[in-house]
Amino acid sequence: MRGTFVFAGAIVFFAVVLATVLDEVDVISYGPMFALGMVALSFVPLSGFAGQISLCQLSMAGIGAVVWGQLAPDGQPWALVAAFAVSALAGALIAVPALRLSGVYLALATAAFAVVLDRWIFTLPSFEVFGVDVSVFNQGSVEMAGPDFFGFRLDEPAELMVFAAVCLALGSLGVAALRLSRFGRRLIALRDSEAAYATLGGSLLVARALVFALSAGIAGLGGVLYGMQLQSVTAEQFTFVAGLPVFLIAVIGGLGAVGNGLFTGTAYLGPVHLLNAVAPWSHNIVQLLPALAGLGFARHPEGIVPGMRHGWEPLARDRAALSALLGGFAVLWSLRIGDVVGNAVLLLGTVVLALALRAWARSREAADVGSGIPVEWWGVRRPWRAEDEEVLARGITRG
Amino acid sequence: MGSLEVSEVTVSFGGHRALDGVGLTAEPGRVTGLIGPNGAGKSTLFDVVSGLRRPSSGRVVLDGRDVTRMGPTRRSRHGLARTFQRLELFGRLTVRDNLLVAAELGPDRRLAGHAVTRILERLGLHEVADTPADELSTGVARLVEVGRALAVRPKLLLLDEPAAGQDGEETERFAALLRSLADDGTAVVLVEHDMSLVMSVCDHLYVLDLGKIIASGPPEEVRRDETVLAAYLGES
Repeated sequence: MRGTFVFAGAIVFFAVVLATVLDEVDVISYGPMFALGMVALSFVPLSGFAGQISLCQLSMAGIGAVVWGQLAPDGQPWALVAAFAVSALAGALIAVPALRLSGVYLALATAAFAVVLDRWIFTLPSFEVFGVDVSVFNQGSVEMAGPDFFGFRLDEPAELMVFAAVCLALGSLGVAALRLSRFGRRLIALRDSEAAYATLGGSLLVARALVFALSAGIAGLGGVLYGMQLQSVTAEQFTFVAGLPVFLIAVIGGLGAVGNGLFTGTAYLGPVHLLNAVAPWSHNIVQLLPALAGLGFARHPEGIVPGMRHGWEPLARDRAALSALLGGFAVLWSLRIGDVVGNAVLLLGTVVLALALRAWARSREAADVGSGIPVEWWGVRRPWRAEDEEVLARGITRG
Repeated sequence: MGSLEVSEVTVSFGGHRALDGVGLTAEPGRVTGLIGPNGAGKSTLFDVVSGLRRPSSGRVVLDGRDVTRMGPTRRSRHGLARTFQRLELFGRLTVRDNLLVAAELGPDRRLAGHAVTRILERLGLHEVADTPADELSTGVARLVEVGRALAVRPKLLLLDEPAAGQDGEETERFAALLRSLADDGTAVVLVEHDMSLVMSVCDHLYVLDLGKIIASGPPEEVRRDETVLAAYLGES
């Protein structure tokens, strides 16, 4: 969990950096990455842990957005709970008919549910059920207020972006904790062998309903955050087709990785806006990026995120390199805030610095292993380092 | 108690009868063997008893209660647990977590941790407790499946080729484990191809061929049955 806490802190730090260096237009462009990351995070317990598939997660996000838009015109925080609960209920309903389905058939069933929502339910005019007015998108758009916490209203795009990042960080922590919990173990058991799980006394229906509900609830919260960022949402933003690229990128990221939320949000919005800004002529080409990334997926069937984590671990373990990175970034960030350099220099400088320090950390780690000091003398002929234990474990595994 | 009574069970796949009017009983404190060649229907019978497959006809009675129409989850709550011929471990979980999932689904989930520790000790699985199940050898993995079944504290235990992949010494230890389980009052039904194991631990044997029980009785009696000798055990 320590790594996940660091990762959660990094999410919030990333959002704070963006909030300080981007202008309002760019915050509106890039801000939804954390909200969409929350939608992508919903795939982790559902698909990554339990092995179920859903192509209607963006529709669940739409339900969450509608609930918030209709119940919280003044940003009442309790409506976040309501949005989670209503989305979760819808998710549980999907699980019941899906009990006997798996694989492509489950994908088709959830796709059909998404189409029912965006072609029918989301387009309904206001109607009455037992005397209660029910409004969906009112055949138009729904205004989305920022949350109001005890009189402190979040309504600036930058504030809402940081709020979404905090929610994504908390969501990532929650999903990581779920993996270690009793319910998490059961979900993995369910994925690995339904027959064994059932013959040990586990209820497939209950487990599936709960994980669909949890996943839909997370997606619903993602929809709320997405709507807050956009300030106004329509049914078109939550269609089955709109949800496919999010699913595709989440698959590319790795459905079992908690870091998938941030990866998907960033990969979905980052390159598109970045390329459009740097090379406007690439406007239509960048729309192909998710598909092109999908073509490259065969090289990383377990997803990119675990590989990225593995690749950057030497830097994270090397205190000197990590300190240099943080120090270098602090300098670049200060220069950017002082308007000495632009965003391009900040981005490029950070990337170059990180890559260089990663290479340095890797070479230091390799030098330690091949330094001529036998491993049994580590901690005797030279001081024991915090990262030595992991280096040894990795060496044993490779051996 | 954990008595099992299977009567007149028939299972058809299309026009083929995998089980044809099969009857079998298993009593607490006894190890009941079920032998027969590959394709005889042994695993299909286990699927019927554990609720993974509905029979076309016949009854399955557990502890005097007709469970024929119950699913596997409810049968498990009536004290039934099983292992599988084709390993069905939770491969991404460690050995300890495999057992923990089962113990937490069992009748005494508050003491799940203690129960898992006891089973790890009893089966000698301590050294691999934190190893992912996917990384185990077949013999050890089968032992983990047995441990996982024990973690739900079964009254009736169905073991489908649990000794496959074990060497002679491991099989001897396993035989002692089966006897101790029976001595604890568990009804054990054993499907196994290792005839020395079957003959040494079983109190009663059933021989299944082409979906029908062709012989039953104490091992010594079955061993002398001419039909069985010729067809299944080879020359003794």
